[in-house]
This record gives sequence, structure tokens and C-alpha cells, in this order.
Amino acid sequence: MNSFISGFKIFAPLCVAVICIALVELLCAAFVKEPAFLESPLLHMAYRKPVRMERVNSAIKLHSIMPLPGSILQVGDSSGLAGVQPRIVNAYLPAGLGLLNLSMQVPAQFVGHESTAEAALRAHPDAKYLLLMVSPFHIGRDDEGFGEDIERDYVRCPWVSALPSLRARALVTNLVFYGRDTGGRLLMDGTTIGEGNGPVLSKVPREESEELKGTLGWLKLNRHQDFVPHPCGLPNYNDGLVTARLERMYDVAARHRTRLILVLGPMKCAPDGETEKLESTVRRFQSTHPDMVIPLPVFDAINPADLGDDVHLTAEGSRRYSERLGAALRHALVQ
Amino acid sequence: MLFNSFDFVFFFLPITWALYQLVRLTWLRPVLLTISGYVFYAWGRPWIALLLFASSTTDFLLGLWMDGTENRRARQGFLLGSLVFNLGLLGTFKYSGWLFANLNGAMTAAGLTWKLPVLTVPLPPGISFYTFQSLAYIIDIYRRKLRAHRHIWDYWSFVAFFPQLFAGPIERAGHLLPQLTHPRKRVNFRAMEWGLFMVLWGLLKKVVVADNMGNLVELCRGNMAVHGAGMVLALAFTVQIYADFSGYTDIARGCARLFGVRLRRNFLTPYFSCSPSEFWQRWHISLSSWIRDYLYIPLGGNRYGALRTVRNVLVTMLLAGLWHGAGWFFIAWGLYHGLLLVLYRLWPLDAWLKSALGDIGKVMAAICFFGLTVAGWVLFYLGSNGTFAEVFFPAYAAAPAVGLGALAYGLCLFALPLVLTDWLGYRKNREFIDLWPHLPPAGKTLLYVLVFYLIVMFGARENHEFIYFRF
Repeated sequence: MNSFISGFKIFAPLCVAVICIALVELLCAAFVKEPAFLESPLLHMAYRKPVRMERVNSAIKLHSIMPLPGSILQVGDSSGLAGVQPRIVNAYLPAGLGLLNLSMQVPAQFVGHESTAEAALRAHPDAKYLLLMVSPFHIGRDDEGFGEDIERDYVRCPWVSALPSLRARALVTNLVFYGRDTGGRLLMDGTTIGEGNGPVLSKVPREESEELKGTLGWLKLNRHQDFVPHPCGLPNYNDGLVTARLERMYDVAARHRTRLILVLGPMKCAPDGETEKLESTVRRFQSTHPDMVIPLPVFDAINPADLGDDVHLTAEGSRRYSERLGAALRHALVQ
Repeated sequence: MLFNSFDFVFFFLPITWALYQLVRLTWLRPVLLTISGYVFYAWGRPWIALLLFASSTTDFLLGLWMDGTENRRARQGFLLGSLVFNLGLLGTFKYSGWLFANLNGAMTAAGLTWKLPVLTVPLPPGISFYTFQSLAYIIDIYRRKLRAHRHIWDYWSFVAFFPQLFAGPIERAGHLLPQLTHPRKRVNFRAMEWGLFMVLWGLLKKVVVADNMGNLVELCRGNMAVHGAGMVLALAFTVQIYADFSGYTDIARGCARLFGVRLRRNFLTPYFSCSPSEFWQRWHISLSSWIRDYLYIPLGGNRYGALRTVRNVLVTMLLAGLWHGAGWFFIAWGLYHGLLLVLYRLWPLDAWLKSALGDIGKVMAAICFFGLTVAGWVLFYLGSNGTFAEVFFPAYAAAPAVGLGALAYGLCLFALPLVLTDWLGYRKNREFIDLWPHLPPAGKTLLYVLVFYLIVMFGARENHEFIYFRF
């Protein structure tokens, strides 16, 4: 008993500190009104170092879009981020089904898509389907990025981003690093996406967050690349990787008692040996996993004018594609 | 596994600590520490555990056989066996690639077409630390300063004790082994609380000071056309390497304390040193004392005249530089410190300044030597970051994105906590964490809250590996 009391005395400063921290967190929860995604550990906010736009978009998806309702949860790369407009797709779906676009970008890596799927299915226990939409260019190759960060922060240790005081991190770092309150703006490297987002404190993240909430996760990408007919020639394609990835995503869906829907992003290039290999691998996988749904053709050639570049649909193209996908999903899911 | 990873902080450490506290049997605790050490070390790369196992098992057996014989030749043979094995491991994994690449370059220059095969196996982290720790054990037995340990689990736990496995302190068997194997004392709450703060303080040094300094160093590299960016880079790297390594040591010592083990001090406010000999008594103390005891003194130390002393100092420091990494700049860094030691011995600038100007002279001596230390770190930085020209000739850099003011502000911002706390420690001839038990409860509470929020708000989110893991 004596040792317990003396132990408590020794740890008293720590206990008081924990109480102080709890009070600060309560105050932050009550008064800091910054967007929740600013809590994300994906945002570095290092001194004078721009945050990559892909990280900002992923943080917004994981924090601001994830809590929205949805029974078909879409994950994957930017072919789906810019390609699928849930509000259009949902108009075609039977009552009770609603699509939520949680697709990110290539630097989120496949492990990041998997982790997003895992986190999304945990957050939506009533979800019916997991829709994986990836570009044929990326499903069979390794890309560099921050997928393991997503896995660590949102699947293995999701509570690390739960501190309300983290919402004030952008305000605090702005003040200390730049000497002014810039309204929680982020120093972002916007060279990879959109217009006018230079590597300066120029973007108000709240606006993008609200924009994405309004579209249920769809983001308009301004890409333009003149079309010259060419064979696809999937670079660094690895057939074994495709099967392994499909297997893993199928397991994630099965673990949460949902069905996997696979959509490979539309293409404007001409099919070749590599795309045929991909198609046969996917069909082989489907033959051993018959409950997997593939609503559109595996190699989905569309009007080149609908694609801004090899992977991303234009706004108009995504509208047309979403209508097609909505109709195909209704057909496949009602069956 | 990294000390600054969630896996370590939230899973590995609490689980290992809880199991250690639950285990009542004295013999079982080294088993637990060994298993935890191997899990910690081999996390994600199981094959590297084989090297650790091979090194420690070989030295345990050689030590046992050496201790069991009085035959001088046999003892020498066992010592030689251990030296060849451990230095062979180091040579193979750490130096062979660099050495063979240089030899191939020389052969090409000489017009020879034949090439040596270059080993491309990644360097197993911590190999320089645990091989030196194991070697010290064997040499101490050879010198009859130590009796060989009879229980292999005890010895395995000594080499694989996870807090100091990756980057030291390089412990001596006489100091650490008894602490791991003697019957456990009751849980000391005071030591635990101190250990907990050491861990927090080390994390602060690592993720707030060192990692942000790492970002600043990269920022300087990208803006070398800015006049003065090279100086900020040198200063930022000086702070980074100290915060990184001493942060690691604080976490290691703190973790060990949670297990009732006291590890050796590795740093003592080194940047306030007035001379190179003082610096090496304050910087990486466990390595400098290892080199003194097992290299410098056996070479003859300062016992055989001035010339032999100079030779011994230069050879010792050259090897100390080489210990840090396979590269010409590491060797140059070691030699540079060797030369400083020799020059200060011949012309003791610090003593002159102190005798002529008193306290002001001491400050001047510290500033002078700090400048020399920074110059040395530039060599060290180059050791793993490209060529001199790439770093210091602006013609090689892209157009600057930030000015000198911004770079200098970043330097002051992140260095300030370290400078202030080190100053407080230096005044008492201790480290800042040694002052912890003497703080009033309100001061401790304030520090806990402050450290927590500094880590939360300013801690780098990117995983920067500890610099000394490369060695």
C-alpha cells in the first residue's frame, strides 16, 4: 500500500499533465472549427516544405468524405477519382444503394487503396459492395508513394489522428513558421493537379474539402494531352502482381461480407499483347471468384475525346462514363 | 523497428515491459529480453537476425573456451578467431562493396579489364555496434579482466538487449551483463518515471529537432545558390546529427531504465567543448572509450614519445572515422579530428585563452572549437551525401526558392530548444535529462505538456531513419 501511495506521488506530475492535455483537447474539440482532415498525419506541414497535393486529397477523402453515407464504396487511383461522379451513378442504382467515391491517386499506391478499403468498410458496416477502380496502367506495376502511411495511420493505428488539437496544427505551424495567421492554408505542391495551385500558401483546403463533399468524392482534373493513336503497351506490367492484388482486395471485401466490383479505367489506346494478358488474368481470376462483379468490359475502349490524357476522363467524359457505369451496375447488381 | 514508430511506442515497448514485469523467474528474463531483442532487430528483415545470432554465439563459445584454458597460444588463437570473425563480418557487409568498387576504379584507370565482384547486400543496421560490444567481451576475457559467462541466454540478451542494439551505447559486459542476470529488484517508480521522461525527451529531440533539421538541410541543398546557404546547411547538419544520435541514446537509456537497467552515458553537452580531447570525452563516449581502451592504449598510447603518440592518435582516429562508414570523407573526418587532437596537444589554444582571458577565454575557446567541429561535420555530411562540388558550388544548384533569412530562421527555430537545454545541463556538468529528478512537480507537469504538444504540432511526419543506424 505504501509503495502504491509513493508510486502515485512520483507519477502525480504525469497524471496532472494528462489531465491538462485532456482539457486542452476538450477545448480544441469545442472551439477549433478547422476542417477535420487537417488532423491527418499524412499532411507533413514541415518548415517551408510543400505538402504534395495527392496527400492533401487523400487526407480529405479519409477524413471528410469517409463519414458520408454509402453502400458501394469505391477505392482506387485517379482514373476513378476523376472518372466517376457518384451523384450521376446513384440516379441509376436501385433504392437503398449509394456510391461513395473514395478513390485517390497513384502515389497512394495499391497498399493505400487496400487500406482505404479496409478503413471505409470498418466505417460503413452496412456497406454491400467494394468497388475497385484502377487504371490498367497501374494495376500491374509498382508505384512509389505513401501507401504505407495510410495503412499505418488509418488501419493499424487509426486513433493517432483523433486528437482534436491536431486541427489547429496548420494554424500553429503557419504562425510559427511564417509569422502570420493564414487561415489554416497549406504550403502545397500543386504541380501535379488542377490549375493555379503553386507551391505557395495559396490554397484554402476547406474549399476543396467542401467541393469534394458536394460531389461525393469526384474531382475534376484539368488534363489535356493531344491524342495520337498508339498501342497501350502497359509499362512495367507484372502479371503476377495483378492476381496478388485482386486476391488481397477480394479478401478485404470478403472479410467485411461485401462483394468486390472491379472496374478497370477506360482506355483510348489500342489493345495489344499486354492488355490481352491483363484481360485474361482478370477473367481467370473471375472464374475462380465467381461472385466478383465486372460490370463493364475489362478492356474498355471509349471515345478518345472523353479522356484528357491516357488515364483521366474530362468532366464531360466522366459524366458520360458515370451514366454508363450507373446503368451497368444496375444491370449487374439487380441480376 | 524504429524507436519513433508507432509499432515500437504503442505495442512493442508496453508489451515487452509488461511481460518483463510479470516474469518472476530470474533465468527466464534473459530469455524474454533475447527474444524481444531479436523481434525488435529483425522486424521486417528476418535474415539480419542470423548475423546477430552468429556473432553473439561465436563470441560466447570462443569466450567460454578461452576462459577454460591456460594455454597462451590457444587463448591467442581464440582471440584471433573472434577478431577475424567479427571484423570479417564488418568487412564483408560494410566495407567490401566500397573497397572493391574503389579497386575496380583503380584497375580501370590502370587499363585492366578484370573486375572484382561488388557485394550489393544492404548493410545490416547496428552491425558496427554489436560487433564492437561482442569484441570487447572477448578482449576483456583475454586480458583476464572478465570471466566468461556460462549461460548462453544471458550472453545473447547482453548482445541483443533491444534499447542499445541499433546504435549503442556500446556497453561493456562487466557493466551490463550483471544488471541483466542478477535477481530482479523491486520496481523502482522513480527510475521508471525518469526513464519515461528520457524516452519522451529523446523522441522530442528526434522528431522535432533532428528530423526538422533534416528537412532544413534538404532545403539548403535545394537552394545552394543563396549566399550563406552552405553555412546554414553545415550548422543545421551539426544540430541534426547531435539531436538524432543523442535523441536515440536518450530513448535507449530511458527504455533500459523502465527495465531497471542503467546504460552508460553517451553524450555530455559536446558542443560546449573547448578542445578536441574534451569533445571526445563528451561525444559518443562509449565509442571513444572503446577506441581508447582497445586500440589507442594497445598501440602504445602516449607512452613511447611524441612521434609514436602522434602516429597512434592519427591511426586511432582514422579507424574511428572508418568505423562510421565506408567512404573517403569518413576517413578524412577521422583524420581531421586526429590532426586537431595533435595540434591542440602541441599548441593548447584552449589553455592559452583560458589562462589569458579567464571565463571570456573559455567562451572564446568553446566558440573556436565549435567552428572546427562544424567544419568536421561538413566532411561527415559529404561522406553519405555526394561530392564536395555538388554541395558547395552554387553552379550545381537550381534557382533558389527561399532566401537566407528563411533558412536562418528555420535553423534558430529548431535549434533553440536544444541549445537552451544543453546550456542548462552544461552549467551543472550534466545532461538536461539528468536535471529531471531535481525539478519541482509543477515544472515536471509543464515539461510533460510542453514536450507532448511540441511533438504533436511540430514533430516531422516523415520517417527519417536514425543517422547512426547507417553505421
